This record gives sequence, C-alpha cells and structure tokens, in this order.
Amino acid sequence: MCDPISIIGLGFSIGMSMYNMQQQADMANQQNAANDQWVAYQRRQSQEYAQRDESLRKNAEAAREGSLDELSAGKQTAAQEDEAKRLTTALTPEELANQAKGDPNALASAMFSGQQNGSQEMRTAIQGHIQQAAIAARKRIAALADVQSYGGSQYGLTNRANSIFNTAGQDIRLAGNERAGSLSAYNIAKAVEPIKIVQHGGGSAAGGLAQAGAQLAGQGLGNALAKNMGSA
Amino acid sequence: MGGKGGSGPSNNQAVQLQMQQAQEAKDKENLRQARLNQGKTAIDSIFGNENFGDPFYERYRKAGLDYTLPQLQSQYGEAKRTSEADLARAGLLRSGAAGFVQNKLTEQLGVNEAGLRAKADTDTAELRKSIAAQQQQAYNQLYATEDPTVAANTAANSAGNAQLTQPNVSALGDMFKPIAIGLGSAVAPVIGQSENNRLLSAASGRGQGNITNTPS
Repeated sequence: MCDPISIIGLGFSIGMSMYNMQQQADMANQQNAANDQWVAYQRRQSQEYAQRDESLRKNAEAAREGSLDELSAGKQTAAQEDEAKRLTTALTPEELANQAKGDPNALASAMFSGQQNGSQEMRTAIQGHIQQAAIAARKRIAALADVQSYGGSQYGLTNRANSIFNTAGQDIRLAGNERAGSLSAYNIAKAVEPIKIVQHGGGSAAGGLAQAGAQLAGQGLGNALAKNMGSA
Repeated sequence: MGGKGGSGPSNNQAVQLQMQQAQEAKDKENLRQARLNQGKTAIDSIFGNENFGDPFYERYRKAGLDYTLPQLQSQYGEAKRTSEADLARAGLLRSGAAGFVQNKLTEQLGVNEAGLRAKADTDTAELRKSIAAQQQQAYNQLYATEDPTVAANTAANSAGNAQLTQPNVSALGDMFKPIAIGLGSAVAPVIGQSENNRLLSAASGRGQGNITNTPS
C-alpha cells in the first residue's frame, strides 16, 4: 500500500506543478504583450522618423528647385540684360549722355573757348562731331556694361548665380544637419530592446515547493516499494 | 530586434518587422533614385545646349569685341592720320617710306586685332567654364538634397565656385608703335633733289639745268 504521506506529497507536487505551469503561461503572455508593445514602438518610431526625414528632405528639395528655377536660361539672360541696362546708366557720365542726346548746352560746353564765337555753320559742324563722338562713346560703354553684366559687376550673372547657390546651399545644409540629427535619434530608438520577463532566482517559490513535495513523495514511494519488496 | 538572443521578441514578429522595414527602405530607395534621375535630367536640360548654347556665348564674345575693337579702330585711325601728317610734312606721302609706314600700320592692326579676338575667345571659354561650374554646383546640391551626409560639405564649398575670370575691361593701351618719320624728313629733300637732278640729266643728255627742292 502507498504511504499516505507519499500520496499527500504526490498530490502537492502535482498541484504545485500545475501552479507553476500557470505562472509560466502568464509569463509567456506578458512577454508576448511586451513584444507586441516593442514591435508597435519600433514601427511607430520608424514611421515618425520617415515622416520627419521626408519633411526635411522636402525643405531641402524646395530650396534646390528654387535655385534651379532662378538659374534657368530665361531668368539668367533676363537678369544679365537688366544688369547691362543698369550698368549702362551707371557707367555713362551724365554730361556724355546729354551730349549724345544732342543737348545744346552740353554740346556747347564741350567746345573749345575760341570756337564759341565762330559762325553758326562752324559751330553746328563741331557740335555734330561732338555728338557723334558721344554716341560712339555710349555704344562702347554699353558694350562694356554688357561684358561686365556677365560676371564681375554687383548683380552680374556669376555673382547672382553664386548668391542663389549659397542661399539654397544654406537651406540644404540646415535640412541635412537636421536629417542627420533625426537619424541619430532614430538609431537610438532602434536600439531599444523589448521588456524581458524573467523568473527571479531561476524559478518561482511555488516551483521550489513543488520540487520539495515531489522529493517527499518520491521518498515515501521508495520506502513503500522497499518494504513490499522486503516482505516478499 | 529579432536577433537579440532568445529573450527577444518571437522570431516571427522580428522577421515581420524586419521585412516590413526592408520593404519600406527599398521603396524609399526607389523613390530616391527616381528623384535623382529626374533631378539630373532637369539640370542637364537647364544647362544644356538649348539654353546655354553657342548663341548665348556668342553674345558675350561679341560684347567683348564691341568694346575692344572700336578702340583699336580708333587708335588705328589716329595713328594713320598722324603718319599721313608726318609723311606729308616730310614730303614723303608718295614715297616708299609711306608704303613702309602703311605696311607697318596694317601689320600692327592685323596682329592687334587677332590678339583681341583671341582674348575674346578665351574670355568666352571662361564663361563656359563658369556655366559648367554652375551645373556642377547644381548636381552637388541635388546629391546633397538626397543624401544628408554630404549636405554640410557641399554647402561649405559652394561659396567661391563658378567664378568668372573677368576679361580686361580697362581701356586698351597704345596698340600702335609710333613710326619715326621726322628723322627721314631731314634727309629726304636732299635725297629727292639729288635723285631729280640725276633723272633730269639722264633725260636731257646735256647735263645742264638744275632743280632746287625746298623743304616745305
């Protein structure tokens, strides 16, 4: 016959094992929930990073496209022509402009002193020459303005292009810097690990009790079997 | 993530997440490459021959010549008038010396004009380089936009790019060397008189008569 203590121990051991299994199932559920939470977190971080990055990229793209638009041939040519006009005005002395227009006072002021008292025909002829010379000078000044407008002048083609590139470059740089920072932050988020559910001390207290119960039951069963074998 | 040992999320969850992220990365990269191609095409178009073709550069070359050649012509005209006056004063207007002066002036005109045209051509080449630098800058900004890691470097280098080497826009210096005619004028009348007398003697056969050349 079985020892009652062994039977009690066996029952206790079975009960505790069932309790332990229940605990482990709970732990697995908790771990699954933690894993789900972690996956959701990673997905959310990934989406948020993608949105931030795309938004910043669009800022850079807008700056780049804006600069490209300003550098189209039409706009560059228009800017160069405007600059040539501005330079023509800026470079032409006012007196010369008036002489080229045929302003009598301006033409008379360019005559030598002795010529002022000459005949009307002579004065008209000399003033005609002065006007022609002024017109020729203006044409050359216009050509000079045209040359300057391609590069070295204040708003010349090259200076304008550099200014546009620099402005866009700063915006692209800012966006690039922010994108790099955003990527660094995301990399930290990616390194976050899921919560790990563990049994402290290598097992639960119930598990230890179940083990002790099993030991007790095992001893009882062993003694009973030994007695039976001895009497036989 | 899924590969962090046995205590991480179940393998299925990790693989699903990784696959999703891989797909997203692939889609993102496809879009990025499409934008790069599109951007490059746009830049090529803007800076291509249709927009910045020969007519654009020809305008610049012509502008440079319109500025310099009239100065050359003006100086040539001035040198020619001065030489004519000097030759006339020396009584050499219809002489071999006049031809020599004319040859020298013509030679100097040709050489100087060729030099100015060559300069205009190299200036135009500089403009081409400048536009090419602009195109390169546009490419750099495209790649910087699509790759944030290069943005900072590109922006830092943008200043100072695409600088057009300026043509010399100051007035031309004296392009015609003065030809000394005054020295010849001192001896030319004597030479002329002697020559005339020789011819007269030869023509008459008598060796009589004389012609006096008086310097004007």
